[in-house]
Amino acid sequence: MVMGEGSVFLFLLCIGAFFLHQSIKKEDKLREQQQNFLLSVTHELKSPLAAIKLSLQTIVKRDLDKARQTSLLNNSLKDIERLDDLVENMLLATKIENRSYSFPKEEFDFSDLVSKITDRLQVHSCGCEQIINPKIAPQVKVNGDPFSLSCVVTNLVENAVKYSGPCAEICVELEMRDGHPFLTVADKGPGIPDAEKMLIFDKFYRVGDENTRKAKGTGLGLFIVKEVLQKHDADISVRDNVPQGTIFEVTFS
Amino acid sequence: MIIMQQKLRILLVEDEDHLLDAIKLNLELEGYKVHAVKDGKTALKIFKEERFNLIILDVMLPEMDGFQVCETIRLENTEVPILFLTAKNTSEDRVMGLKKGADDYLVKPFNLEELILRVGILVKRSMKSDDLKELNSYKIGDKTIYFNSFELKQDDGVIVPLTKKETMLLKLLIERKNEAVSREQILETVWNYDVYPSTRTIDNFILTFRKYFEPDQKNPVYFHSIRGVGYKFTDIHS
Repeated sequence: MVMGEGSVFLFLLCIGAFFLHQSIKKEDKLREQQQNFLLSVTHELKSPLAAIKLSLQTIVKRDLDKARQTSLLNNSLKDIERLDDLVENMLLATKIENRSYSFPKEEFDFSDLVSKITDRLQVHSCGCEQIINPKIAPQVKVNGDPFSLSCVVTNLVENAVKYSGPCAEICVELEMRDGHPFLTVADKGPGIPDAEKMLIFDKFYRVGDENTRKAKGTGLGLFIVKEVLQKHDADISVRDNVPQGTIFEVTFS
Repeated sequence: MIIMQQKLRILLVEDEDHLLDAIKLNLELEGYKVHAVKDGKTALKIFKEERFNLIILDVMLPEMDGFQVCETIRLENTEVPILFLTAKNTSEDRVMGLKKGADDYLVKPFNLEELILRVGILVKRSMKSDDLKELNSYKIGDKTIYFNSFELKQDDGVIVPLTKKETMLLKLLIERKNEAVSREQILETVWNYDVYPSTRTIDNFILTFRKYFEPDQKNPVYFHSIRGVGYKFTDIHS
């Protein structure tokens, strides 16, 4: 009798200890990710600011020729766009978190939106004539929020550019499959280990160490992608590209 | 001043393209020769191959972070000034940077003027104070070295011509007399950072000096080899 009660008590105690341990581990992980987020945001905000400030001070201080001035100013404009994208992502992520964003939906031309984004990001590419290869079927309509969906497409394509080698081709395809809009973004980067494929959509999650990462970012992009697509009843999946890289597939219902 | 700075070399390590371009442009306009790289591992590789008067290091770098790069450099070289240029701005970060062996720490976004001034101060500090002093002649035993005319005058009046490198090495060792001067310091000062000669080259110079000055070359009293370190000049008459 006593033995029986004792072992039940011990069993419950073990289960309790296990859950407590899991919960502490989760908390630690979250704290570490938030710390990484602070680090990466610091870097992502201050680096373009430093570059803009230095470029403008250079133009003021030096007697530069027109070509050099234009190059410094163009770099500054790109840095301002980068800051703008970052601020948009941070605001949208915050609004999603506190449920203050309503995702105003309307039927719109998704083909047109994807084309505009691929055109814009093409300009950012490494100087090659074309690294983004768009295959966009015309007139693909989606009932959704154009602003948040444009963030989804921008984040997916920017990630593909960021993680690909210099001048590696990125494929962006949009078509109707089984009567539903179907978007694919495929890169030839290093790929994502299987164990991390499900984690990459977590807020602040980033692969690798913050201090020595090749591609910079904040860990907000894919969190926004997942949250926005959930609000649109759309699915996202990630699989390996052949011979290397990653393919993101988005299916609208 | 410009002529002096043209010889000065800076290793710039920064992974942000636009920032790297703008810093490089400004340093070049100030007369420095800049070697720019974008990750920690390449920085270490270049540091081992070339000589620099200053290293400007970002902290968050691909492959190997700036703190590690600084620590690794300090294992082999405690002289070259290192300036951290980073977005990490907490006092812990600054303390960490200085503990790893940095000489200065500048937080992004920084002022162009401040960067140039700090670079100038660090580079100046790195230059041997000896370069600023003027030593015209020096007597070793019964022979006198004339640094400006690259000559060695014996007491019988015979003049032996010295090469430029011989004169520079003599000047360096004499100005640091009674101190061990490392091979690295010799290479930095005499070979002016550009070419990396083998250590045998320095040995040959020392052998030549012994021929010139030592009464007994096998038991030198002036030019000593310090095993594993470099060379030392002692003047028994002073």
